[in-house]
Order: sequence, then structure tokens, then C-alpha cells
Amino acid sequence: MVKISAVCGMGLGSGLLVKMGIEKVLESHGYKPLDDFLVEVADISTARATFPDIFVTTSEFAERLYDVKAEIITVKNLFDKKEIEASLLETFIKVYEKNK
Amino acid sequence: MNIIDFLTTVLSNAAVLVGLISMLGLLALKKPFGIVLSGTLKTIIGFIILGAGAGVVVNAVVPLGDLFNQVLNIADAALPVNEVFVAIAQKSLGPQIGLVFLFAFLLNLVLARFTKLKYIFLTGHHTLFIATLSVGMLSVMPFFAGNEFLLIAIASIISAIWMVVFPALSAPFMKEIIGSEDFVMGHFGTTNYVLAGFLGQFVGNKEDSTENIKFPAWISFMKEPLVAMGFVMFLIYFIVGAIGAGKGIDVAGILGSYWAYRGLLLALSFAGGIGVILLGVRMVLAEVVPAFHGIAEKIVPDAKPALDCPAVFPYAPNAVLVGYLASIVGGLVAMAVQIAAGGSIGGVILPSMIIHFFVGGTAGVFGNSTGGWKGAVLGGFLTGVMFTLLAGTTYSALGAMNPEWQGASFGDTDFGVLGNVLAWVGSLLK
Repeated sequence: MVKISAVCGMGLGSGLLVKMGIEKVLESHGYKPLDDFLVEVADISTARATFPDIFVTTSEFAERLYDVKAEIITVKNLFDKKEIEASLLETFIKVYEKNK
Repeated sequence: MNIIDFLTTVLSNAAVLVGLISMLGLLALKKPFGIVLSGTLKTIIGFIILGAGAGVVVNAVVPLGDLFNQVLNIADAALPVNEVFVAIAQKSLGPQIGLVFLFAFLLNLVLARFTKLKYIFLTGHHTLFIATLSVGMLSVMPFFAGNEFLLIAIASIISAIWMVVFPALSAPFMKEIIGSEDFVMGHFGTTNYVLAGFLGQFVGNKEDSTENIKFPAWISFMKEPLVAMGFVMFLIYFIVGAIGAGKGIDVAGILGSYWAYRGLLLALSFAGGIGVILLGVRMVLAEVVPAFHGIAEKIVPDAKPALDCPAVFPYAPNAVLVGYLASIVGGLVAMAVQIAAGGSIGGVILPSMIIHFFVGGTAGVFGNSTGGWKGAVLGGFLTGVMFTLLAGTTYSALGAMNPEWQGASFGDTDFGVLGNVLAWVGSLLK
């Protein structure tokens, strides 16, 4: 199981859109929510305390995720599933295989 | 047992009502039983957390009101934090707000399906805010007294119109910023975003972009809303406290002994309470928004999503910081004007870092897209001035009519525009 945190400023709007995008992308590749992955939304101030395997955020907030062990993926167009797929999938599979 | 009475009791609880809305959405998307159950319960729990956070925030700002009152003789000072107002308004108007939240979304679908305004507003917390503001403003008008049906209908129509018209206004500028027509702006600071984009072309050159500026690394802590909010609240407590101490006022009598340290704790409690409210809102939205989105995709497949403002941040991150800082300056100027005017132009609006960062920062991105860094500065500055002045008069209109709402107000510019329009209409209907 891979735990992913979708991070934005307040954890209300754009983080939720990223979460929905990630879920769609991973499900389209045959991964099952809850069994294979879990995506949570977090705000930037509390994100470091969510301890995911992978953070997905924008460059704007990535610099505030300092000293974390998790992988950090940055995306530019939050609503572009192709971009989420291109930037996340490889790292996801790597972590997924490791956690198995 | 009286069935009608029982149903009214259940549905008049906003948490349960919105929980049921989530449940309907999840059922419509044919989610498995486990997810329908957990989603429904999490929505209700989220609402309860929201209410608890409001208590923490209110306790942390009450001493600030006393301090302003006794030190600066300002009786009417408010922090424009939408989340706090929503949490407080839930107590008296929860079910009406819950229903307007649902009907505004459904009307948005109808407008997107049958008019040229093909936008689906996906920023759930702003739908909740516009529903709360319209219900709040209408509920204090004697015209709507005793007519709940009309109140909910009109509030839903106003909210739905706001949810398609403002994204439409942002569309030409969004194309310039993101270089595609993938999405438009779904955030109620759009009056300022459009103004920043429009005025930018007259003051500067877009080649002179903010993205060529190098900022010192330490300043990035201001990008965390909770941290920035706690930090600035402490400065406010400290500055007003110091002025009071200078005047010989017993500041320790208001805040407690070691008043500066108490001020620090109150400021951080305030930020902590905001964090709790955010958690509650997040839990509600995480269930409702994907359900709404799934339904919207089925009914209006060709619609464009209207997204939350940080969606444009990656396209000009420096412009966000420039607009944010310029907005703080504009807000302080407007606050000074409000203090000098002594109540004749509405309440005094204290600096809310959440609004300055998100609305000011986004106005910076829009201004930068047409006028470079000069456009970003102007866009941010105007944001601070305008939302502060508009929130001041909105606050007076709301607070004067319902004492429960003292100390809280709406921030973002489009809420200020709506608040003032409704206050004006309300004065005609008297």
C-alpha cells in the first residue's frame, strides 16, 4: 500500500483536485483504492506530519516540505491528468514494489 | 412518536443534512457500501469538528476585541476569515445553508447545460461561503421573515449566478496565464483578478516579469497560511498592547499577566483554531466535491471546470509573493483610512493573511500576465484596499443586524461586492 498526500496551501481546493486526479490515474492503471493506495489531502502547515510515502504538490509549496523522507512530486497544471500520470506513475510503481 | 417532528429534528441539523447530501452523491456514483457509509459519517464528523474549531478561534479573538476597544477606542473591529463566519453562522442558519449549498450546485449544472456559461464551479469551500453569505444577508431582511422557501430559492439563485459569471469573466485572462483553455478561475476574488489583468497592460510590460526576481529564502515561511496567520496576529496583539502600555492602560488586566506572552499564546491559539476548522471543512469537501464532480461530468460533459486560485500559482510563483506583500500594504492603508473615518465607512478590518495570500497572490499572477511586476504590485495593492473597504461595510451590515456575528466577516472581494449589493437592496426593501 502506498500512502500519498496531495498538498496545497489550505488543503481545501486545489489539493482535493490533485487527489481526484491521482485516484483517476492510478485506478486507470488497475490499482485499487484502499488496497493499493490511499490519497489524503493536507494543508502545507500540517503536511509534514502526515508521513506519506509520496507528496504531490506544486513547486510553490514543495520548498516548504523540507527534511522529509518521502518522495516529492511537483505538478504544474493541477487538472491535467496526463501531467500527473507522467510525473507520478514511475515513482508510484517504484514505491509500490518496495512496499509490497 | 411524531414522524414529522422527528424528520424536522434530523434535517434541521446541518451536519446530518450535508451528510445525507454526501450520501446521495456517493449513491448516485454507485460507490460500494463501505465507502458510502464512511463518506457519510466523515461528512458529519467534519461538520462537528468545524464547530469545535470555531469555539477555539472565538475564544482567541475576544480579548483582541477588548484590547482594540480600550486602547484605540474602536468598538467595531473584525477579522475577515470566511471559515470562521461559516462556523458561527452554522449555529443559527445551518440547514438553510446546507440546502442552498446543494441547490446552488444543481442550478450551476442547469446553467452550464442550457446557457453559454459552460462552467462547473468546483471550489467547494467557496460554494459553501457564497451560500452562507447569501443566506446570512437575506435572513436579516424583514422581507424574508417567515418565508424560508423564498429565502432558500433566492439565495440559491444568487449563489449559482455568482458561480458561473465570475469564472466567465476570468476566462480571457486565464487563457493568457495558463496558455490553454483547460480551466478557468473558480475563486471569489475575481473582481480583483480581472481588474489586475486589465490595469496591468497600462502600467507595465509583461516581459518585465516577476519571475526574473530572486527572493530571499527565509521569506517563504509566509507561504504557510497557519504560520503567517499566527505570526501576524501576534504582531497585532503586540503593537496594540504596546500602544496601550504606553498610554498607561492596564493591558495585563485585559490579556493576563505577562501580557505580551499571553498575546503570543492567543495568536497561536487563533491559528490552531483555524487549523481545526480547516480540517473539518476538508473532511466535508473531500466527500462532497468528488461526488458533485462525478455528477457534473455525466450531465454536462463539455463544461469547463472553474478551479481554486492556487491552480494558477505554478505559472508565476514570484508574482504570488509580490501580489501578497502588495496586498498587505494595501490592506494596512485601507485599515488606516477606516480607523480615521471612525465608523462612517464601516467596521475596521484587521489584516487576514489568508485573504492577502490567496486573493492578493492570485491578483499578482493576473497583473503579471499583462503588466509584469508593476502589474503584480498594482493588482495586489488594489486587492488589499478593495477587499478591506468592502468587508468593512459588509461587516457593518451583517453585524448590526445579528449580534451573534460580531467580530467575523467575509473577506474575498466578490463576497464584499455581493454583501454591499445585498445590503443596498435590503435598505430598499425596508
